[in-house]
Amino acid sequence: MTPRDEIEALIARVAMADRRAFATLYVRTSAKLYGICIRVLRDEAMAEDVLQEVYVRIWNRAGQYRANRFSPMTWLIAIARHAAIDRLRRARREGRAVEPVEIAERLYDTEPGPAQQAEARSEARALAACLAELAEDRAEMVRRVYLHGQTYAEMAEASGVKLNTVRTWLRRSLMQLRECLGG
Amino acid sequence: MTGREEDLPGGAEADAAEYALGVLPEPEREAFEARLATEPDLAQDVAVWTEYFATLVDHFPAREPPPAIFRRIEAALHGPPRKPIWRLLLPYLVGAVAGATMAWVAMISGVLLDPEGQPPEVRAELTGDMTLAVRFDPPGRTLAVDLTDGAAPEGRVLELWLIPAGRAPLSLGVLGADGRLVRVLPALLAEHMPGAVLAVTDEPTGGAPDGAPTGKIRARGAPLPS
Repeated sequence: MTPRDEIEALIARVAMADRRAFATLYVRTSAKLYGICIRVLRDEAMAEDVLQEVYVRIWNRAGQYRANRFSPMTWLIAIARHAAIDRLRRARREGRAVEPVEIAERLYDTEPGPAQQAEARSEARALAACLAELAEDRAEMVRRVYLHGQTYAEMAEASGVKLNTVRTWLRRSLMQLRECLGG
Repeated sequence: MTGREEDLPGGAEADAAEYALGVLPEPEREAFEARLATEPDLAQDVAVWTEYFATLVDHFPAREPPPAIFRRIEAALHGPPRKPIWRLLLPYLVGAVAGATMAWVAMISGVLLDPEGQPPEVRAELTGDMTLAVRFDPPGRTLAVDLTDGAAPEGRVLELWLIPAGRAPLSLGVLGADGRLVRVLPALLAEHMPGAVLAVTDEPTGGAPDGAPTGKIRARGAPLPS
């Protein structure tokens, strides 16, 4: 059984309310999902809360997994990323923004080194290559939206341009990406 | 219509990417989700974008969460829930059909159409060696089960089964030590609820090991209303 098949089988059993399968799924996947929460939120207490939310959602939504056609790890990552971004946006609204502080960057930020890039999945390499073809600020915009949950309103405020202008930039970049990825 | 399509480039294809990124503003997001349900190409687009974007976290280092987190998750999911209001409202279910013979003698009341015109919640009672009150709320797919009379045999747990007409039983979950089970059913399971029969068996701790009932049927009900 490949790891992918195994995760998929575990999700299917969780959909049938199998608590042991849920525990196994947690053992297999929680370190990756916690790593994402930490890296997005840069705050351990928040990351712990969000991880709890993430697994409650996984338990409740396991039955919907097949319907959306993602690979199982992508499905789990999407849930974790979504929950972490939600929390980060709320923290920013409440002024408890955890801005990318230098120390936090050093602690939590790890850009892929050459070795990691060499091992990367083909999708990861393709996306990295296509992002590199965009203007650097546009590629950074895509990353910030995905990893920091930046909203159009925030980007418009930061850059002093109209919201729809920012949105037009991002949409154009996304269409460029789509074409580059073989859309 | 906002006329947005005229102002912004990319059309539905860009919408799909914005949706996967989580920046598609309301109420566009809601409208887009409605389209997703009926347009497989669009859903495929979202799936492909989601796969690509997920690679942005590939290089994030994994970190073991503190061990207490899993206990918190388990408690959140299976710990003793607050006493739900509906339970206080349903004293009539308790022992209502006490002494009824085990097979098929049950009471179902699919009543209480709510004022908003939502589908009525389904209430059922399972009887036999023990009595259980079941409530299922179709819009929220929320299932709540309460053991109202009787107890699991020593060292055994009670497992609730959904038996769709002509199909093998599907586990709906194991009752907690407090005799309760509350959960949101996955859509695939919820679909099977109308017309199905519910039954409870006693099983080894943790539930039936292979996903099929192994113990004695302790209570069952009549088919749920379709």
